[in-house]
Amino acid sequence: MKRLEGRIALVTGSSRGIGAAIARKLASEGARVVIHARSQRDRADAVAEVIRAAGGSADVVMGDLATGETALEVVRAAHAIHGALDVLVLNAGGGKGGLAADMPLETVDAVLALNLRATILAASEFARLTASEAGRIVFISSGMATHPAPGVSIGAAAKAGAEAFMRSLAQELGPRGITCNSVAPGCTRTEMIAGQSWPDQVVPWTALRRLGEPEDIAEVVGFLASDEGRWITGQTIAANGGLVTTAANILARAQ
Amino acid sequence: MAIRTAFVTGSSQGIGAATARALAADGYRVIVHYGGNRDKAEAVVAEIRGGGGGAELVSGDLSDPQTPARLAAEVAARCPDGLQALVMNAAVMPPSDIGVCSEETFDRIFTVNLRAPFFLLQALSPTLAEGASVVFVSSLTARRVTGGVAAYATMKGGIETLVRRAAHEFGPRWIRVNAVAPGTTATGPIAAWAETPQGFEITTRDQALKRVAQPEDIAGPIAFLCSDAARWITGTVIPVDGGALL
Repeated sequence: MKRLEGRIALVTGSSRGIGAAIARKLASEGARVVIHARSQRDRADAVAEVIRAAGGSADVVMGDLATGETALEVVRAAHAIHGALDVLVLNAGGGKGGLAADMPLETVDAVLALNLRATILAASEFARLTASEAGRIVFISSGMATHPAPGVSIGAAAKAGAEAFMRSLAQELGPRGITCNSVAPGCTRTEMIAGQSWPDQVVPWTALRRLGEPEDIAEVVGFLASDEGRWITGQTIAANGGLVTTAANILARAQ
Repeated sequence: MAIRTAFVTGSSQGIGAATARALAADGYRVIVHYGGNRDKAEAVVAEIRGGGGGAELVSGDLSDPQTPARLAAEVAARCPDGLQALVMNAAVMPPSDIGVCSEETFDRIFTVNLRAPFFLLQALSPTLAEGASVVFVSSLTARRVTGGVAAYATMKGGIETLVRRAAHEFGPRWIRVNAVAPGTTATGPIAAWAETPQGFEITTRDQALKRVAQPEDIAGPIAFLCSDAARWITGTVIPVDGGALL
């Protein structure tokens, strides 16, 4: 029996990159997964198709998590598919960077809405809906929540805020056996950095002397979702190959 | 496929024994180490062999400063294909708050809990294979104020710093170094105490999941850190404490 057999998992922002790798990993461990994308239905369908072709179960829900009550609705829609939800992976994130003093109000609001507000709303709705005895919430954070760097201050504040939320939520949901953790990747080779040369400069700052791959991160999420991760809650696990700073810092130095 | 070997210090009982069993279940040949508990260590070896796994026994009193070099040589001699997993678990935890800790007690904690793992790591470095994983067992007390164990906690803080340094020294050789940091776990005399109403209350009062940790709860994450699934995790300390409220 696969170790996530019988579990149902929603992975936000899973039409590509780290989110897609997490969805594929959880499916390969036996979970029925719900793929989520903001707008690119065809890409989400493609990830679901790959999972089904490998013998897994995948459905798709859509929605812009930064808008209104969509973060609540996406979790409700995912829960409604099988009438249950065991694992919530909050991977969707991102947004514009820039110096805080130059940041338009709309950008501040947008970054906080997607990276912090949506995380709070989705996790809270999951807590209201789930009846799982092996409930898991995993927030995909970033090294910038820990390491200072210029040009990403709003995103760093949002990620750090979401990590703090997960730590306290762990205390609220612990008595129900639900664990709440964060995984903080370093510089990971996704489509977002494809074709750019600056990531090569991250390698010498990394103990294991390479960049991360989406599958490296997915393995850690798979562990936290499994029974083996049952005694870990309220934590942030850095999955960065021993990167001593954050890529934003190295990028800033390179410019 | 070549045999993978794991060496677990202090694996005659508790978290160490559970880790030896978990690694054996993952296919490792496990070198079980004990300081004084020969009977219990032999039972762990017999249990692993009874389950079809490979296990061997080594002994050494880690409070003797000569032991790390001797023990490392013995382990290396048993690893012709190198060592793939090294778990530094052995430790002593006497009361050691500043008001009560004698120099003898301090020196014993230092020698067993910090000096021994440092020099074991140094002496076993040539034996560690590419892709190997080193896991230290730290403690909640390294970062949070609980228990009357000031000197013990200070050494564990040293272990957590050692993890970060060793990860960067060994990273280019594709060797990972991490720690798990348990809270109170049902081992030895703690197990029976934690089942009493007062023990249960005290044990679960300050954590989220509201049950008493078993050695297997800690062994699972240690086995994960030893596995390829953790290939991108190095230089980290993972608290495995049921969500400490401190």
